[in-house]
Amino acid sequence: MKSSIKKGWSFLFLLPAAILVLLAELIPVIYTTYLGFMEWNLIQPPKWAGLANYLKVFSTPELLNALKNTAYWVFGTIIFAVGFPLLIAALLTRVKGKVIFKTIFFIPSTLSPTIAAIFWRRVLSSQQGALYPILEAIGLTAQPLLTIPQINTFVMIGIWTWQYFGLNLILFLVGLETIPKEPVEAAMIDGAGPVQIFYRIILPLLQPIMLLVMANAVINSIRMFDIPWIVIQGGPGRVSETLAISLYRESFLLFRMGLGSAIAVVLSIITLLASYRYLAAMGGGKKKER
Amino acid sequence: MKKYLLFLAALIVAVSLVGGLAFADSDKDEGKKEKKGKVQEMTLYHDNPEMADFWVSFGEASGEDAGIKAITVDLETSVYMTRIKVDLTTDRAPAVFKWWFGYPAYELVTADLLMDLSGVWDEVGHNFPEGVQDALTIEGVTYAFPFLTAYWVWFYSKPVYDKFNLEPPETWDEFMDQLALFKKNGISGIGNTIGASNWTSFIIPMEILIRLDVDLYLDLMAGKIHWTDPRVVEMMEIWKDMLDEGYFAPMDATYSEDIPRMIKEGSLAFAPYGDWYGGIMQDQGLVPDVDYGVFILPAINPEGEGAVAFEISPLCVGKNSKEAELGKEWMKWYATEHAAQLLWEGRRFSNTVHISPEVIAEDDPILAQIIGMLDDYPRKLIRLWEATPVEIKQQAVDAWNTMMVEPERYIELLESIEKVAVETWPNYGVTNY
Repeated sequence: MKSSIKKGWSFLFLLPAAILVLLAELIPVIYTTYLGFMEWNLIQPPKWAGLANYLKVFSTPELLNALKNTAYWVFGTIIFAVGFPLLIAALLTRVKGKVIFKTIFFIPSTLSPTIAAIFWRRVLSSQQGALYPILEAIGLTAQPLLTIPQINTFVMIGIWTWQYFGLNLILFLVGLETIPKEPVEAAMIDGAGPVQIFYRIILPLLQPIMLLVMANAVINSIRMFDIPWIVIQGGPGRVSETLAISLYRESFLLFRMGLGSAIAVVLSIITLLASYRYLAAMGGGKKKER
Repeated sequence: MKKYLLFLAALIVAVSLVGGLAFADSDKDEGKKEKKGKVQEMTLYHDNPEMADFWVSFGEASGEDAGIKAITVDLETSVYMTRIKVDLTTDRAPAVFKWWFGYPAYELVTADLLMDLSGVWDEVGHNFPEGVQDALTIEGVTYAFPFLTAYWVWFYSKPVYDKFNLEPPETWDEFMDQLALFKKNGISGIGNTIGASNWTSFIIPMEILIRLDVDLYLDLMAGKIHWTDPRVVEMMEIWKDMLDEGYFAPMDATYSEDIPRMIKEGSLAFAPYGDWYGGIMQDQGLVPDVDYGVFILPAINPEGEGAVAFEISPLCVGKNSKEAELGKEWMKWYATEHAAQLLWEGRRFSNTVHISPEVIAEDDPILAQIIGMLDDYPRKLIRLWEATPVEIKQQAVDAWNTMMVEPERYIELLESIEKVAVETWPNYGVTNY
């Protein structure tokens, strides 16, 4: 009886905050979804457009290109901003003085993506950028890498990796340090090699941290805006545009609020689907605890 | 009881937060509208945070002179456009706001959001040069006063020209020969790049179109000819040849920092921009007539002679504004000699007849040269950015941005602009496109 009264009061105390958050999230979601069915330029009354905007997201060449670029960002982030930190973290566990390495790798993570973009735009500039004297000293000529359409997305993924790497490294190091030694020692006694130990024992035990890192990485890369916008506004042309940039363009440069809203809804759905695995895993973990 | 009181306290805090958020802005609005003695206040919006100090002092000066103080609000451009468009449809519309003329203003006119200022022009129009009112008139009604009028010219590097003992080109062939010479000597020709933003990609196509045939340019902007017209294709081919020859600065050079530096150090010959670019170059330490000079690009054909592109940044009055009448009155002060003096001293903008050519020549010899050249270019053309619908302009800018790094795709890119033009022109009443 006392326990249920306690739960009741807890619920009541949480209720105002929950209502506020719900209103701040639910109303914009509903309104944005509604706008996705309309044609509206802010200065004329909205007109019903049906599914036209939602269909455009999956049929307009430029938006399909943005979807493709967003996919590059996601896979690039998983490979370079998750995979590399995991590898480095595994190596660092065997190294003395890892505090120095941790500090060096973590410093870029203290910067916002916007600052990282401004910094690297300057460093990579063929006009007095910091990188080019070094390259020219070893016989390479300066190229305006960020304006080459075939590679600039990958260069920007590199910027993102540099900025995001340290945070994931720290998370993996924390995870690795919490793994009990006994299973690893037992495996070593049984003759397992380092790769086998890493793949069959360490990785499974690292799953909770891995899920967190992957979920964050996927969500942050799906909604990537800062770096490609600051560096080159999704250009040249629209070649490196991501879905988040498309949303911004359609809404705030072209004032096609309906199409912008449709892109926002699609982006949100993609993000939800991508983070479903994490949410499902967390929900499964809690059930096991009970 | 204690828990009940705690819960009540939490509820009150939550409601206060919501209430504070909901009413905060209206409190600010009330503060702005508060009348202080005989000086009335009105809002003035602009998208130049770098000019914030100037606008504040300008607004205070109008309060002292005319009893109408402009309370200025500055926002970054993309946020600004959204904010203005939303507010214009409500009584939160600003009394006075800076905008873009041509098609960006046309859509506000068709939505009946701009105040008719023809009557104000009848009273104070004599303070402005001839032709300015026409440039701010749509279908017989004048909707604005000019804030910035800038002519599009070519800045050239004096160190480069002195090195090769050259004069500004007077024919298209001379211009091309000079580009070839600079290229041969390791000097970049034209400072028109992608940099960090894509808006500058319209400049070269606009310049080439005008120099090929002024009427071609006007017809294209008005939807009278198609983007796939052979003469427009010719423009793209001329530009493609220049790109293939390598006559441009490295594509990641920024227009606000790298290009002025390159002009000064003699590693770049030309920078084609509005005459306001002189201010940017001076901010980077260049000295007018020492580090740079100006010319207007020569015509390619006789049909391309006698024209120069210009941009006019207007100040408009929001029709739905509660302070709309104050805005109209403020415009009368804006036309005065004192306001013109403040604008010249603060920003080197000269829109009225009040700033004499001698004063201009003393403070900015390059601007004086530009003004002196204009008599030879009687046809003043609104620059492409405002001269054609926003949807077509944006597609064109994107396509041309791509052209700058992939010139071989010029036909495909032209067709992409044509596709958008076909979809867009009917929305502007051009049904036979």
